[in-house]
Amino acid sequence: MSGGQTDILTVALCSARDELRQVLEVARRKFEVGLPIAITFVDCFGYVAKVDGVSMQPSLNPDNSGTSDFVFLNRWSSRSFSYQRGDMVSLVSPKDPSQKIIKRLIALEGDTIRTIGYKNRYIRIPAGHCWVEGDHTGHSLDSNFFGPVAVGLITAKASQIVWPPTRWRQLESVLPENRLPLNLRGVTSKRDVTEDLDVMDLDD
Amino acid sequence: MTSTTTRMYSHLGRWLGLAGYMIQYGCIAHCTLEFVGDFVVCRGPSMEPTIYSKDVILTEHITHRFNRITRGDVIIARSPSNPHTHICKRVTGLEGDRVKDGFKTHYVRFEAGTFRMPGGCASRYTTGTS
Repeated sequence: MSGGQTDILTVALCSARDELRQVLEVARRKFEVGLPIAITFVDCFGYVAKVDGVSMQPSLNPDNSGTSDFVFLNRWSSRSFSYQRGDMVSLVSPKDPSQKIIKRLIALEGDTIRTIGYKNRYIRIPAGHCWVEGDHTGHSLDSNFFGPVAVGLITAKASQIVWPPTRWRQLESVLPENRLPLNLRGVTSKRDVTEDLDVMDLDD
Repeated sequence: MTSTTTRMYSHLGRWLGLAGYMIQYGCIAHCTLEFVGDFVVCRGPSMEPTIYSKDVILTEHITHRFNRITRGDVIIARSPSNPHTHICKRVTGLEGDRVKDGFKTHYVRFEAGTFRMPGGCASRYTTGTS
């Protein structure tokens, strides 16, 4: 009688083991198919990333309570490298290639920009480069520190805040009024620049 | 009537299966070309005599993901002056190095995170992207 019970138990164990093996096999096959598709999706369309630091206040991480915003980084728009001034972009840090930073695009190639604390007071952005700045002027490690960056370093455009839910919103392409490149303000000659400088200093 | 419907469904199923396979293998191909390696045709004389114009070279995309680029490596990078094109150069200096700048006698000191990569003709340094 006890022998019969053992047999039944063994059969039950074997079938359970076979079932488990089958489930694992199916999971493995699903994983093998799904992984390349998932990686391709992330690489082509975009992914969600956490934003650290205060450099983009007040647009991102507005309060210092320690809660971080999560943004959707749109990779699709970075395929053609067609960005507009005011876009929020993520790029590989020119100072440390293992680090990714998020900044606002201020000026594109050919623009003239009035810098804040860079070695030149005015700079013309060279071909293939752009000028990026954090919204939190003075608390951001941006182009005012490392100069114009190559557009090829930009990896994605930040399009939405997705988390926390109360902060869900579309990230619009807004260029701060006082950071408009000089050539877009109709400043062409050096004399205009000096006048503009005086006005700016008065404003400050 | 029923047989027509069945045939239509089987056709639809076959096409859907084919589309699924195409997506799957397309994604595998994308991942391989993007993260493992691919072939590149080089144009221009800047890397002679190592690489001649119209040579096809096999590249691997693994080393740069781990930031293991060393001096002497031949690399493909996105051109700093035009992000739509790529350039093929040799790395001659890494961050903190002092390298001789062409025929001039002065030395250039590099900031962290930038490579210097002159080919035969190029003489400007650029940030390391790929």
